[in-house]
Amino acid sequence: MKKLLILLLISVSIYAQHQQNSIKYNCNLCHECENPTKLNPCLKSCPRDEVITVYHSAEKAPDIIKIDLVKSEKDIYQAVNFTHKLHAEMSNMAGGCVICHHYNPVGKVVACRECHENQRKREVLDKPDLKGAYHRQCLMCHKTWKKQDDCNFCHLQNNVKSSAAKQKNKKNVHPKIETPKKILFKSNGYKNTLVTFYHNDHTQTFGLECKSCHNSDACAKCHNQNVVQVKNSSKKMDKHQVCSSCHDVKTNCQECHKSKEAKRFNHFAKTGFELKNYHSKLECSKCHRNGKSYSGLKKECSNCHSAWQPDFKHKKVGLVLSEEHSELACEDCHNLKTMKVDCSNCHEENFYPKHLPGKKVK
Amino acid sequence: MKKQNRRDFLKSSISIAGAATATNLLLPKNTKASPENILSNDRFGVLVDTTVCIGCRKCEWACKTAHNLPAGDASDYDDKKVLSKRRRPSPGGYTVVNQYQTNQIPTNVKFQCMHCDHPACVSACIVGAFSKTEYGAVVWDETKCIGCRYCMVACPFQIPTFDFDKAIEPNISKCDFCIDRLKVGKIPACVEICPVETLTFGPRKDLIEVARKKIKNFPDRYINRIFGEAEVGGTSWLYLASSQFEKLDFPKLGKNPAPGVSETIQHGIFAYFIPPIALYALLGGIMWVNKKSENEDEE
Repeated sequence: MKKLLILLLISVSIYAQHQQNSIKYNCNLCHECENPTKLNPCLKSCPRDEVITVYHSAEKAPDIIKIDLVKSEKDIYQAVNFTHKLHAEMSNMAGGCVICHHYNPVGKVVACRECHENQRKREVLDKPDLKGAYHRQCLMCHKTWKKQDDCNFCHLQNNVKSSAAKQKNKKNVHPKIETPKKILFKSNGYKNTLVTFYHNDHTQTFGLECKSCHNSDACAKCHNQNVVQVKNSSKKMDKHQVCSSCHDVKTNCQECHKSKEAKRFNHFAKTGFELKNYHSKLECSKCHRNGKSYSGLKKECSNCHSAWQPDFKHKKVGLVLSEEHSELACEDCHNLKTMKVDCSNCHEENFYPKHLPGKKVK
Repeated sequence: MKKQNRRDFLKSSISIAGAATATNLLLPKNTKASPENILSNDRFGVLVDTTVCIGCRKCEWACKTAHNLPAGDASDYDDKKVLSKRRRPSPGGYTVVNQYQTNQIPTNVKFQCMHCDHPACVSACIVGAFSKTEYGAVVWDETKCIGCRYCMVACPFQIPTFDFDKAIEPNISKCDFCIDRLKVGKIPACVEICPVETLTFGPRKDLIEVARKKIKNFPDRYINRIFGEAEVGGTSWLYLASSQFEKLDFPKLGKNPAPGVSETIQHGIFAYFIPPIALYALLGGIMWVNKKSENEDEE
């Protein structure tokens, strides 16, 4: 009995130890070496891009932050009222919050002051002090276009009155971004073909958000076009990367590369199925549910509408049925395969579309 | 130059020479400019990251203010046109920022005394006005200066400047690492005001580590060289850059301390006054021998 008890104890303790070991910590996330110790934690140096786990939308960001922590012997300038939300929104197309908040393992968003010491004379020298960190972060973008690395662009001098300060803040709104309509790319690689890119098609018809393509644009891309920020990579895949999230860029070259300028996207011309009323407002993926492939659907309504919902509201297609029609079953008027309307069951021939079974709405 | 007149100077130099001859006969192991006891591990330095500098010229203003030079208003320095002129430190300002069109975004480089570990100016100064302090700073004593301008010729970076437009009592002047501020625990004025912390102040050995880390972490941003780590035997001020330093007007210098050869010869000739005395003794001996033989001939 005693032996059995000891055996049980040992097995339990081994099991418990095994349980503990099975929890997987990813030490490499923060530590550089294999055996970090308390004395020598060998932490990775900043910026620790991969150490970001906290994300939220720009709309949730604080609006204006007064940056008044940095004080020096002789302050030449007033504290800056930093339009935080505006910058957060602008950063959407440049890489997101991460471009400034470059370290955020867990919990709430970490502010600059929590890592960067507000002290220029200090012991840890491998990251800039708070004053340096603020300025470097701003200037990373601001200095890439002309005249914006001037101190007065953000700061007001000490002798300027506060009413002027308020006015300056009002002006700080990013102007509306002008989007191009059509861009013609000349390809040297693939049979010297042309790629016609309709920007409107992508933003309006396909409903893409700006940031789904523009996710790492430098401000200077628009603000200082003389400064070519990104070296145009000659690699084929780099050029195609933006398109590759939707288009098949590996095999289906002819889809975009054409011998002459292509026409705008037209669902009817391409597939024979016209997008009107309810369908024109739908996202592509509502019908094309097969991931990346946008082909293979037939023109018939039954492709998607195999079974009509009992609570289907006819209003959605742009026609509110009159009282006497609303009680009818779908198949009383529609051919369920083609959804063509045939009124001859009740009415004389050619009754529809002259007379409608209800009122048109938008 | 101010308090010391010619008579005092001659007196002091004669007394020094006399004392030296009287003491011992050992030759110096190190050059005067590199006293080992001064080059402590804790000596300070400044790391200048030229890729960060925005050319706001606030350092120029702060430097002048800290040294009681006419500085004007801080907003006078907003004019960025002067950046493209090749300026050098002058008696009116001990540091300048110049701009170089290296890439699409220009590189701004702050110039001032590099505070060499083996300073040529200390070596060249015949009255011992220059000295390297334990803080890392190379400073000079105005009261000893006789205005010979040897330091200007000796400096590999052409830093000491001279009041050429002053007829009476012209001074040598240069960056002094804000030694008066260092002594009371403050940091140099330029380092303190820099908005982007282009200038990092700290122990020189730590700064070299910081610089190495930066080069390792951002190989696209920096070239693999810390200017001042080894140049002319090492300098207290260290520089990082994104393009070759020669394109940024940095002189092409070897790793040997500038005063090495010249000082060995210069100081060797007069070491403890033995070679001159020996030479005189030799000449005197020859004379004596000649005179003796002349006397013998007459007889």
